[in-house]
Amino acid sequence: MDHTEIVEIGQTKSTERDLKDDCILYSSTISTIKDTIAKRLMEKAANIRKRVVLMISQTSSGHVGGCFSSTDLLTSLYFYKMRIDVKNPDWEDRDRFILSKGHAAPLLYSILIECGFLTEEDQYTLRNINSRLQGHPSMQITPGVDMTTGSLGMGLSAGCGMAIAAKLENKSNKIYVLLGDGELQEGQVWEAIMTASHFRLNNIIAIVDKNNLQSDSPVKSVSNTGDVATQFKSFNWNVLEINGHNFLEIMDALDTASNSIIKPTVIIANTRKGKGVSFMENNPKYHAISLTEQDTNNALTEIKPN
Amino acid sequence: MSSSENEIKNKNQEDSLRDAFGKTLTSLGDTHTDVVVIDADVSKSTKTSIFAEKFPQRFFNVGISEQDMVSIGAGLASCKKKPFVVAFASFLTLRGLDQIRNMVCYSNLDVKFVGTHAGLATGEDGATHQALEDISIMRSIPNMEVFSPSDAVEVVQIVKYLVRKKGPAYLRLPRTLGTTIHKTNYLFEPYKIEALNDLNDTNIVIFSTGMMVSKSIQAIEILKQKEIKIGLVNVHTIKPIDTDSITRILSHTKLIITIEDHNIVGGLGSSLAEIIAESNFRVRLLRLGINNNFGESGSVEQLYDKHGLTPEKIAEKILDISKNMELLKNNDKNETQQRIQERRHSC
Repeated sequence: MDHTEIVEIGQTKSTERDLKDDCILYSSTISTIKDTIAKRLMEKAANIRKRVVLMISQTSSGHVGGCFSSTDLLTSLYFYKMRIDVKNPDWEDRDRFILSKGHAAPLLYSILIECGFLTEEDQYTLRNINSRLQGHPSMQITPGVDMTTGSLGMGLSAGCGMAIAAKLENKSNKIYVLLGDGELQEGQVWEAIMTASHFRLNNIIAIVDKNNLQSDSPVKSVSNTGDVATQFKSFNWNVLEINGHNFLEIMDALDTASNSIIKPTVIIANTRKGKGVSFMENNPKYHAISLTEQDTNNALTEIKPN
Repeated sequence: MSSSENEIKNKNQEDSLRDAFGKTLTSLGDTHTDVVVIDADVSKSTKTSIFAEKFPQRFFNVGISEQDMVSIGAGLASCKKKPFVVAFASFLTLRGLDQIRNMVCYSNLDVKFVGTHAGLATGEDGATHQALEDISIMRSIPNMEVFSPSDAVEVVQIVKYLVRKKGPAYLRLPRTLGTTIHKTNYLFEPYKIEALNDLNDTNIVIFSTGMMVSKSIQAIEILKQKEIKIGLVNVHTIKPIDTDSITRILSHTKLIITIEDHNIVGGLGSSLAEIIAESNFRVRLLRLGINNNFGESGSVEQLYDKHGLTPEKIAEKILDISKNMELLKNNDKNETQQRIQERRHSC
């Protein structure tokens, strides 16, 4: 069904059709559109995974596992949801994104190149001296980076600051913050969770990349304190739980989250560290690693829209 | 170097520096609509409550969460707001240090930090609440400027400056009232030292900051009775420090005494040590302050007494060291210059 047909349906008088039929038609139309978008996002995500591999392989090391678990989430965010302007990275009304798990910088940079905030020349400069691609995102140095991160646990607080600023200016932009599940061990995260809840920062959407692994070991063997969803709910947040590699679920969650009226929203995304490359998936070895030529080539061969 | 055109006023008028901060910031709130104040549940003590009353929509008590408040400041600044992040000096600079460094200063964001209850001047709350290393810590972070006012008049001027200035800065305030030493028309010059008397007819100069400036004034009076002339410089901007002016003073000085309500490690004294050591001049330095100790409970006067920071004890220490250095025979610049020459030749 193409665009012209949709317009024609909309212009039909309601007396000529049953409204219920219209709704069914609309929602199936929308779901077809969303399927199409999901396919496009999948292709985009594969491209971005390839960029991440190439970027990390050219430098001493990188956090490839945690980049891959977040790739589908961030691809959806940037190419489906966020209101940004590549020609104007400082546009005041833009949606903001904070990579609180700052070590996934190669993922963010790959997306920024794919968007056009950065160029192909930047692709192979990760962690080089004098590079625009610092080891962890730096807002002063890299166009498209809304907040400097790297020291874990700070991003959500900064997001609260941005959310407050937006409300003071009566702006309707959203603030998206991506956290790791290991990162939730930092106490400051909970300070921010309290702040967002107390000040009714409904314009904050946090995303937890729940890949169940951290640097040394599985998250549950370091800190097993019950269910993340329940914890957020008890702080009075809206909680959505999704498969972080299902684009339809991601899109729906982002849409639902942006309609929140009072509470901030967290999307708890169940993911697999290293997703997209079979030998990296769920493999703690790939938390932070120097990619060998063999690994690089095998990964690039394997990565495809999935 | 700016020489204060006002006489040193050392009468007994005492004013609250915290009140001066709160009131001045509030008075600027109408014209500076980007100012937002964040407090950590101590606004009655920090006096941000004054701002909160007039501008409730721009005041946020984020609760007892210094890490959160600093990063919130970073977020606000990234959206063109001008946050003042205010809490007790000790908790703000220690608990919030990672955030101050890695979010605010590393990205040179326009966030102003105000730490109240600095120094032994905090009093009875005791060691955990007395910030004795905040100058040292803040000074060591790139992009951070450090201001330490000597009285309420100076606070007013500094706050007016901070509201106009962009970039990270730290303002250090005591809990106690402070003797007012400046006239209300005092011209504050940021990044310059302020000579409080004539430095040219002495070879002994005190460099002091904050609450110790008025103590230094009294110490100098005591020594004046013994016909000993001591110069006095108020260092209200500790970073970036006025190296050029200080170096010029070194050229005709034999002894420098630094006095601060702060650890002698890393603060004003260490700043002077750096300048002296890197200069061409051989000048003796005596650092007075808290001698690498923690504080404790007690009244402010008792604490100052215990740590040798009363005018009498300060005067005594200066007298001692000056005698040892044989500086007092004439307190004469010419003779000292001759000795400097002799020492240079014998080295």
